[in-house]
Parts: sequence; C-alpha cells; structure tokens
Amino acid sequence: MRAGKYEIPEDLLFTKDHEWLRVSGTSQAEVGITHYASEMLHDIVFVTLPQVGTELEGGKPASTVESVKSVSDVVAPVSGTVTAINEELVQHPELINQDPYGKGWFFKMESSSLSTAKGLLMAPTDYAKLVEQLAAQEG
Amino acid sequence: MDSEGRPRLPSQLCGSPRAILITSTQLVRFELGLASKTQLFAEYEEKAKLTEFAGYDLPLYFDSIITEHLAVRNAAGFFDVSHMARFLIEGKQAEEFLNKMVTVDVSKAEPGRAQYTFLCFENGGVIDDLITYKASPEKFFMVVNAANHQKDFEWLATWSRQYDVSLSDLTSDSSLISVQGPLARELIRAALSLDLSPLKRFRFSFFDFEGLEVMVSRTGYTGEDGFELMLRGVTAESPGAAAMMWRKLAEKGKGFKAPPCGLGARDTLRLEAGLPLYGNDLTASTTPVEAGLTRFIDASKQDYLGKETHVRQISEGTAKALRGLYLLDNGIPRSHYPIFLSGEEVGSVTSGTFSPLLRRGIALAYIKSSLPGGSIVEVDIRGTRCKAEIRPPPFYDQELYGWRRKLA
Repeated sequence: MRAGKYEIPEDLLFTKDHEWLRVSGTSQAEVGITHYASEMLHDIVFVTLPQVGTELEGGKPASTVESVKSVSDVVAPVSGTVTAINEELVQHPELINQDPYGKGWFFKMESSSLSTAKGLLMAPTDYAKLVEQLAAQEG
Repeated sequence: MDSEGRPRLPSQLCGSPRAILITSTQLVRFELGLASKTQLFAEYEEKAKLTEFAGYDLPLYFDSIITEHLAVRNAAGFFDVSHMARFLIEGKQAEEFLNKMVTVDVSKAEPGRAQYTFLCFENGGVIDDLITYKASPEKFFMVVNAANHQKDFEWLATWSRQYDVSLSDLTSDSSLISVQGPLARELIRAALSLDLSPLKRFRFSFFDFEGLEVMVSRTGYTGEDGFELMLRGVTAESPGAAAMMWRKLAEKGKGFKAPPCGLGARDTLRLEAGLPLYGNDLTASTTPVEAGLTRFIDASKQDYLGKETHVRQISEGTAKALRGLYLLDNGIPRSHYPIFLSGEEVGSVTSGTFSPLLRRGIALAYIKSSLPGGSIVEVDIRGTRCKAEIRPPPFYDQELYGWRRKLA
C-alpha cells in the first residue's frame, strides 16, 4: 500500500520511529528503515552497524544512519541477537535511499519475542495513518 | 539574535545624537516576529524542500544536496541569497565611519573594490563577518549574515550617530542571487546577456537588467569562481525583474547542467572551501586572529573597534586556532564534538560535514594552536574515537577545483 508518495509493504511490521521488521519463520527477522524515513533523511551518506553477535534490546538504539545534515539512531524493533549485517551499506549507503525495503536492509536478528512483536509493533495500515499525518504536517 | 552577541550601547554616545537618516523596514518585520519570504520565494515554493533560516523560509535543497554541490564544483549552480542583509552607507564621513567599524582599511581600496572584513566589539570578539563594497569614498554597500541582520544594523546605527553618515537597510527592496561555479560567467552571459569578463575577483560594477540597475560582484561562498547579483527596486510583493532573472537562469541553466541550489549545498560547499560560518566558526567569543583570518586585519590603520586585542594577539599568539580536519577513519564530525590527542582534550569541532566531493568527513575546529599541520588527532564521534589529520583548507585539490583551478 502507499501513504501519499511513500511505499508501505503489507508484509512488514513497523515502529513509530520508522523502522521496519520482516519476520521469517518463528525466530528470524530483518530490520531496516522505511521509505518515508529515507526520504526525510535524504542524501544518506553514512551508517554504523552493530556487530554480529550483539545482544539488542527492543526499543534501544542498534545502529546509526547519517545524512549530510543529520545523524539519527536506528532502534531495534524487538530484543534479540544480531545474526548478519548488510556490509554493503558501509560503501554504498545510498542503497537505503534507492531500495529501503530491499538492498537497503540494515541487519538480521534472531529473536524469541517475535510472537509478541505483532502486538507491540504497528501494522501497515496503522503505519500508513502515521505517515499520512506526518506528511500533512509537512505540508 | 543570541544574547551574548547583543550590542552594548557605547557610553560616550548617550549625549544628543545629531539628526541622521536611519531606515529599515525589515527590522519592523523582525520586531513583529513575522516570518519573512524573499523576493524569489514564489519561484521555488513548490519545487524545493524548504527550511527556516534566520526568520526566512528558504530552500534546503531542490533535488539533493549532493547533486547540487557537485554541479557547482563541476559546472555551476545558482542560489537565492536575498535573506542576507544589505545596507547602504552614505555621507561625507562614510569612509571614516567604516574605518572605525571594520578591520580592513577601506580608504586604501579604490572604488569598485569589495573587501571581506569583520565588525568587532571593543574587546576584539567578532560581531559579524561581511563584505564592504566601495562605490566612492562617500558611498559604500555592505552585505552581512542574515542571522546578524538586526544586531549589525543596530550596532552600525548606534555608532553612526558620531559621524556625518546615513545608514539604510536595502534588504526588503532588493534581491541577491549568487551564481557559482566554473561555468558561472558563461551561464550569466547566456541567460542574462551580461558580459562579466572584465570584472576581476572581489570587484563589483553596475549593469542594466530589464531597465533596472543590477550590482554585480565577483564574490561568493563556495570556493569557486562566481558572481553575486543585487537587483534593487524589487520587493516580495512585486518581485518583477528578480523573478525574471531567476527564471532565465533556471531555463538556460539546464543546458549548462547548472541547477538551482539550496542552503544545504551552500553549507557543504563553504565547508569544503574552509570558509567560516558566523555562529559556528566565528562568534562574539572568538577573534579573527584566532580564526586564522589575520590577513583581513589592517593593524597599520589608526584605530578600529577591537584593534587593541587583535594587535596583542598577533604579536603574542593565541591559545587556540581555527584549523581544518580531514577524517582518516570513517565517520562524520559534527559541531561540538571534542578532539583528543594522547587522551588529552585539545579542541572542539565548530562545523563538520560529509564532503560530497571527497566522500570523507571534514571539519573546521578550534584546536590548541601549538599543534602543527599534519598532526593526527582523534575526534570523539558519539563515543568512537576517529583519526583525523589537521590540514589547511580548502580540502579539495586546487589544481582541479575552486577559482584558482587551471581551466582545461
């Protein structure tokens, strides 16, 4: 689905801070930032990623993303352990702008709290409402 | 306006002021807290990502900061800089007055000369950095930072009471467009039919554009060759010729790969060139000597505000100095990040960004002046120590980029 010009895939879960979570199986998940977030940051030029094996706490900063003008935290949507990172982003951070839900993924994690995540995170329809509100304020 | 920069009324001026002309409609808008729009706002309102700066709604970028930045380095780009404040100083004692206020000697300049200089407090701290334009010994223009518009005008107005001069604020009835880059001159010739080849750097002259007088200086804030065009007789309500100038640049710009550019690229361009920004790299608590800009001080002239401190600092040296930093590790320095050497804090970043040309972190920073160029220091980037080399800006290769480049 879309919210204005922003793409919102229906198979993902979202945070109010504009991260997405792609659940696969019972304990695997992939994390990135949304199309809206990548457009707001614009000109993404640098990322820092967590190390594989790091224990992440849901709701706490896991990674950073920088544009020319600003630096933002990327928050872990759920608690878990980092199993893989997208090292291509270090050389090519523009992938986040080009393909936020695909080649622009940040890290993968193993989590035992994915079954409860659905209740805590936002469904695509709810996230679309949030983006529409924010886009309206933006003008 | 920040409180530490608020001008103090010189005590000797509390007597009866002589009758003078001091006019500014823009200051009334500031006093009323009205958001301002420049003469060109309608030209880009729907096309740019907007941001608020110094009370104005201005473009942050049109397409992207990086593409606009690279267009200026490789071809040209044009900016609406009408938010910058423009003053006119006229009168029998205009030269004498300005020589008291600024750090260079304006009496040594011939008419048609633009000079980069500073307004300073008596204690030597910087009120603003600016450019003066000498039309004649009795007539000067001045372009100052938008963020310091009110502070500068009030400071000048206060001191002007001791001199036979009039001060007027031209900001709200003139526009200022900056065209920058190696193809700037060609673009202006094609778009506006103005031949600027006789104009040398830091010179200005008057031309006719659509029946209006346009003052063109070969100046800028990007490190590139470029021109700034001030058109008088245009207001936000009646932008006429200013809007026409912008549209002609936009239309011909396409063929030159020269886009309209926003404040984002303006900031990355000036930082790559090592040009200071007031509020970050220059403040009321720094002096031009500490900022390494002593070449814009004429200590041989009789007197000016701040001279005593500057002369002392020139002879005795200063504890800190404004230096360029080139990041050797991955990371982007931002203002206020501390700088370390062997565990000891030796300075702090005042401006930092990602250089679109070099694809590296770069910064300007006040660092202990005893550290020589080439020293490797560490910038604390949110808890990670990143190696950086002290390098004199500009950060780009001057054989290939900037106004000194060898044109192929």
